Order: sequence, then structure tokens, then C-alpha cells
Amino acid sequence: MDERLRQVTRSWTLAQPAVAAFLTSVVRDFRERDDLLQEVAVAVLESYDDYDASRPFVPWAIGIARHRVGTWLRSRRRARVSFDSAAVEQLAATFAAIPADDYRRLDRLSECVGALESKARQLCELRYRDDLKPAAIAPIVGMTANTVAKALQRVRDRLRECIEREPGLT
Amino acid sequence: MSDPTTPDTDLDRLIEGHLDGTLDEADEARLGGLVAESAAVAGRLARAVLVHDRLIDLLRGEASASTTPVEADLAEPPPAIHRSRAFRLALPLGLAAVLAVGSLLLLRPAPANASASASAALERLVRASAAATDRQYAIRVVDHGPAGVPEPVPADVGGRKPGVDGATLFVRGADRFVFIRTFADGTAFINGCDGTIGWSVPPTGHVHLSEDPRRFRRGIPGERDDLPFLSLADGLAGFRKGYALSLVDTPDAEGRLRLEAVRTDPRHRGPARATIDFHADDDTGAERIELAGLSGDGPGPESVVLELVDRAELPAEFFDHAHHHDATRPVDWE
Repeated sequence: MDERLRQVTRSWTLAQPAVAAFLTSVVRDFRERDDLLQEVAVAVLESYDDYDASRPFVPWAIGIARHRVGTWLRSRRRARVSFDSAAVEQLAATFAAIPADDYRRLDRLSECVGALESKARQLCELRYRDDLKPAAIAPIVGMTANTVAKALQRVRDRLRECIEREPGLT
Repeated sequence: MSDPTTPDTDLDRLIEGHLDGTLDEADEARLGGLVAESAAVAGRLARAVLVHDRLIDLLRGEASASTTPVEADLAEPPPAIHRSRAFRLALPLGLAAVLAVGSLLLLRPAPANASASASAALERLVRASAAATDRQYAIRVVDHGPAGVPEPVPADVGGRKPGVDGATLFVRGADRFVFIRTFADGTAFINGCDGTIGWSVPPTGHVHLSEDPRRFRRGIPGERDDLPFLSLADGLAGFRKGYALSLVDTPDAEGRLRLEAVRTDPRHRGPARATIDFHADDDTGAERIELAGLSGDGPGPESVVLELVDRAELPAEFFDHAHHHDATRPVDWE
């Protein structure tokens, strides 16, 4: 691996959680988000020579992602994207400003998910591993779609609280 | 309160609904407007997305059991990166390595690791599968896997779906399908897509519709990941990601050629091997598809065969959900 590739790989690795989260905030379909993330990775690699190393990398990479989202929005007639360009712009700025520590804290999430009781864990798996929405989860777990949605909200609230705690206090 | 005009509980409802894709268009637009107007609302949404986004990686990454971290190429792993994110890191970093050796694997119209003839064959299959002709495939399980032959699912009770052995798949072009599985009591569970709307029609009860055309495609063998063999145009990305292609260009007794795809990237959850038989002298698409090594595709058989049994034109409305249930059935949008 040459030095330039090592640099871009390292920079991208550190920026990728922010870029991915930004894309997730505007693209609801998990697979479409993955495809877009890959396109952004390619664009970052191709544009890396234009990057000014005296400036922070994450906002630069999110800027590329923002442009990609704009292009993608225009090219997809029935895209599952919810927000207009003003909202996308605002979110890009927001994710670019989130401190690196906040992303590092998310590394505790695995431990927090491991501490969930079985029902909450099952809901998480159905929603995230199997990419099912509450209406599809409902008949599997014997709940209404509305109850599933509320339960997922509570699970995410607990997980957010968990990662905010000191390590080992899950 | 983050926004003076929106109570916290309502904003929470909008944000959580956005994450789960349950908001209607009006509420989505409302949330978008609030985000655009207020940095505080954008911040709250961003904080919620961080956990949501990482859960996607974490739980899908766990499902991808054979994942091999690609960061091994680096002299030392980046300090802030958790290993569980290898699933997501795989593609971009794999791409970086590919770019480094000058082979634009994911950017070319055909896989770089395929021979020229295999690439040409793939392109032909893509064109044929995209043509708006009707095809009917019979699905047969040739290897049920270590769990053996499953008990038949007696009826539509308890949420269990019928198995794929004996199922029928109708395809029109690259984006319309009807997939019919049958319970032991003879009733059918039918999934489909009319090109725009994905739908699911169980034997009784509510019909489910989704604006996501891929929403109800998962039961079809090999379709769980990004490698839909029956709409190869969509599946090209999957081929490019982790398969070596080769063409057996000596026709068999029936004049068919064979395209073989062997998974080379263990991170890919598609079948380990696929063989696609097609006629050399016309563009009718795949005549026989065998998918093997499906164990990474979730519960279900190890190997299946899809045989083309008919190319007769189907009724125009055959791929609409309404063709498969009576008008009195309640319909739910997801």
C-alpha cells in the first residue's frame, strides 16, 4: 500500500462514521444508504488530491457526500429520501460539527446491546438485522405495529443512555 | 424544548418515526422543515441517528459471521474504529485496495475478474433480463442443508411462511415479479412487485403494500443480499463486489452456454456459487439458475434450482397485487 493510499484510507476510516450517519439521516433504505456510501468512498478516493490537508477531513468528506445526495435525489424519481436541500444542508453541517468523541462513545453500543433483555434484543434484530419495519415486526412478536414502534423508541432511548454512562456501568 | 413551536413529545415522535420509516409524507415534510429551520432540531435528529446508524452496522455485521476485517492491510488499526464495523468498512476499503492496483472493479460495466467472454455473456443476460418479456420459473430445492427436509408449514398461522421448494416465480423484465409459495393446506402466500410497489398477499387478512419495490423480495432464494439473479441489472453491483465469473462457452446438447459465478469475497452474504444456463443464439434470459451455498443467506435451503418452464405472455395486470386477491381485502401501506 503506497503512502497516499495509506493516508486516504486512514482519513476515510476516521471520517466514515460521520459520513455514514449523515447518509442514514437522509436515506431511509439501508441498502440505498450502503450504495451511496460506497459512491462517496469512490468520490473521496478520486478527489483526494484536491483535499487541503490543513483543513479538517470530516467536513470535506461530508461535503462530497452532500453533493452526492443532491445528485442522487435528482436522479431517483421515487427515492426514499425525505428532506429537501435545505434540511440536507443543515444535517450535513450538524454531522460535520459533532465531536470525534461522540463517535468513539458509540463503540460502547455493542456492550449495551449485549445487556438488553431478550425481547428488546429480538426487536433490535428484527428491525436492524432483518431490516423490518414495525408493521412487519408486529405479527412476529405478537404486538401491534404502534406498540412495536414505541418499544423500539424505548430501546433506543435506553441504548443512548447506556453509551453516555461510564464504561462498565451498563 | 428544542423548537418553540413543536412540543418535545411531538418532535420525538417525528424523529423516531423517521428512523423507522413510519411517517407519512406530510409528517416527513414537517420534520424536514423543522430540521431546515432549526439547528437544535437538526442536532436532536443527528444524535438519534448516530445510535440508529450504528445499530444497523452492529446487527448486520453480527449476521455476517464470516466477516474478515479489511483493516488488516494497515500497519496498525485506526484507534477509533471498533471491529464490529468491519462489515461497513469492507466495501470502501476493499475498493481502496482495488484502486491501488489500478483495477476499477466497482466502476466498470463488467467485473474486472471476469474473462472478456464472460463479461459479454453477463451483459447479454442483463439485457435479456431487462427486456419486458414474461418468464415463469419453477423452484426446486436440491439440498436442504444440515437441518434436513423441513416440516411443511400447515397453514398461515403464527407468521411462518411456506418453504421455497415447489414455489413458482413469475418475472417480467427486471423489476416485476410474482412469487407464489404454498402452504400444506393448499393456500398460497404471494409476494410481488408491479415495478413500483412491493406487495404481499397472505391467504387471509390484510394485504401489505410498500413503496419500496424490494420490500417483499426477500423470500426468493438468493435475493436476500444484493445479488438478485432474476434482475441481473440490479445484481451487477453484487457481482462486482465479490464474484469471479467464467463462461463455459462450449454449448451443451441443448445449445446452452453456462455462466459460472464463484464468490471470492467471504464478506458477501450471497450464494457461494451460481451457475446460469442460457441459450447462445437468442436473448431470452436465463433458462436454468442453480444457487449453491445459500447458508449465509439466512435460514433455508443450501442449494436451489430455478428452471424456466414457460415464456407465455401473462395478463397485463398479473403483476398488480389486486390481481391476486378479491377487492374486499383490507390493504395496509407500510
